[in-house]
Amino acid sequence: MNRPLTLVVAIAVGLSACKRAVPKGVDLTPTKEIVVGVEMIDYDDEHGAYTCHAPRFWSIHEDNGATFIGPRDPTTAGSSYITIVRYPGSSARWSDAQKYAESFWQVDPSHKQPALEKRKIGDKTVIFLHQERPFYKLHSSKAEYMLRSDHAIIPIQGGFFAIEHRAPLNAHERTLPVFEAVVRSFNPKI
Amino acid sequence: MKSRLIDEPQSWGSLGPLTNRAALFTLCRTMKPLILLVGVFTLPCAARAQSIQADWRRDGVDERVKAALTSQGWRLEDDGRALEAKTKAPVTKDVLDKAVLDLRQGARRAALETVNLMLASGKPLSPEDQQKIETLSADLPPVLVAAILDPRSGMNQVKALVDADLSRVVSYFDGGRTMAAHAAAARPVSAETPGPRVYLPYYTPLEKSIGEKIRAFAAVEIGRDPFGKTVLSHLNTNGKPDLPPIVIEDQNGAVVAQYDIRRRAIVLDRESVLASVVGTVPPSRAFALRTALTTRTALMEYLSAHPEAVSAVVKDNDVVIVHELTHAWQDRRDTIFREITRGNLPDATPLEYEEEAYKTKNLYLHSKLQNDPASVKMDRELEDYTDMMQNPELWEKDLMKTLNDSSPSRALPLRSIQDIQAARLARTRGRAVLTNDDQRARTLDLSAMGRGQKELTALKAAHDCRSALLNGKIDEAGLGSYQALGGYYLVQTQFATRSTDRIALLDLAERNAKASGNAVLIEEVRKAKERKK
Repeated sequence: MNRPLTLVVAIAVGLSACKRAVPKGVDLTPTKEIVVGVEMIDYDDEHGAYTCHAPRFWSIHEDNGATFIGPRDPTTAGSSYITIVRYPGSSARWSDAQKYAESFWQVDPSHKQPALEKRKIGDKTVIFLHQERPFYKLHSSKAEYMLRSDHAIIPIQGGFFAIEHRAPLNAHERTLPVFEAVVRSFNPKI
Repeated sequence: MKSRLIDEPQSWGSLGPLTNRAALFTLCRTMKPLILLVGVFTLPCAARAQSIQADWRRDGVDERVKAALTSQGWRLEDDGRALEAKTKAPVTKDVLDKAVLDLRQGARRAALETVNLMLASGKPLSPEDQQKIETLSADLPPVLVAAILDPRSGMNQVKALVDADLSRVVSYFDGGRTMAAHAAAARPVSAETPGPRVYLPYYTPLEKSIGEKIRAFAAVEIGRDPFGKTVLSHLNTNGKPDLPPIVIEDQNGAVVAQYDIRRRAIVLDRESVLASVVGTVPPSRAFALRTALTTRTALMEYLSAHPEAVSAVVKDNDVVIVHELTHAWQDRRDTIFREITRGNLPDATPLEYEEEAYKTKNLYLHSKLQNDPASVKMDRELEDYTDMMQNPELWEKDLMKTLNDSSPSRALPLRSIQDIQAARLARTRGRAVLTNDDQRARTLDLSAMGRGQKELTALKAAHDCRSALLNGKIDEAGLGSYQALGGYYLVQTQFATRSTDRIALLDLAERNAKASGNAVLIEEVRKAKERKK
């Protein structure tokens, strides 16, 4: 009576033993969308605070927020990267999205506040702004090239998320759509 | 032309087979008569080459090698002579060539170890990794770079190439070490002791005298500020601040200052010092003075005769000196830098050390803004402070990235240095031993490197505590930064010579005062604006 069952189990074990292991380094995560040739996959924040689409082949650094590092501009040698930081309501420096958005005059070379633009994305209201500043090497006063940073500030219950895209000015348009895709797909879990 | 530390693939390729003892033996046996013949004719030439005095301009020392040699204490004179750090005397061509080769091998080792780290995950290289490899390509064997960047290359093939190249570089360094050197490296280093590789940074009594004056002025200037006093107190010896030696050297204006871990000295850039000196005279005399001070001796003599110029050098650079003093404290507090100079740890600066130094100098600047706003210069350091105060999280991420981008194999997070050290330990454990001496050398190396690894682990834990403390101070300072900047711009209006500048400064004072919500400051700015009208 038990013989057919034993045979089935044996075949199943045999098949699983024959099944080839997934080669190391092969990424099976499904592609969610392709933006300007960049494959985007699902990204889950390590603390479970949000999900979003992120470029599959960019490096990810996770330390008090996530940074996705993209291609380097050959002219300036500056990289494009996108940083996501969460500011909880208890944050010592910033807890109010609007006040944070209005503080960028401080770091503007001519102390001008960049224009703020509010856009509705899904059920979120996102504050957008952008800024251009010179890039200096550390301990150097020589401006190497101009940087452009694009900011999306997303208010949540008790605090906000800030998403920044930074790239050399002459190269920023190449990765701007990637930043916009990250913002579009951004889904706070808190 | 792009400067390169390593760019001769042929010479490296030829070293490969000769490291095999059997091949070497066969080669020597078959080639003996020819070797003898060549030797007879080339020996006199070789002897002559050894006695030729080095001329770094003639011997192809490019800007990068020049900077690297200078940072190790060498002095490359305007007349072409190369003076060595320990003896302070001109060296022969072969000595300079050996020093350059050591540098190239060190750069190659650091680059190969960084690539090894990238490959360790088994994942395909990211665009960021590939870009770093391109940045490091001058230090890597061209065959390896081509293999890495060729999509048809297999991961195992690349790993094998890296491994073989690393073995050659490690043999280069280990091959030249005596048993006494192995034993010396294995002896524990205690904090507060100078270590074995400290050479006096000064080349002449005049330089020493100027260095001492800058040191004394720096202690006074930084000590005037309450936070600066705390920084100095970390360097106290017998109750008094004991600053490291300060020396002026050519850094080509790229770096204003640096802490040299080998000589345990602060190095100020000659061009930046000259700018401060020239700034002490009226604009009408500035060009003539700059022209007169183009040589090192002329600059030193001028500084010796003009204490106000020494004072200007310190006042213009006190913020970066505080940054470098933080590195000096790290050097005395921890043993990491000394283990690096002994070869027991990878020759890399932990990014965590830089983070601490940058945060410390910005907190010093914050304290100066509060206590003596007139003493703060409107420069890059003030911009960096404003960046940090506006958004500490983004500022820190940007700092780490900029540092690592500028030196992908030398500015590394502690975690990466620990991984490289673990790989070094594994390689040493697996090193073939043929004799008792080999066995003893390996035991000593494992002891030294194992200790280094433990020190890195301890540093990681200590850094996390120190970082939390500094972040708390930054949060606290951030709340008062609008007020500090409002007061600063108000004070600066007194020094503005042009009306348009005064108006712009008053506007900035007003915006910061309003953002601070401080009624007294808002009123002061309002009155100042009324007076202006």
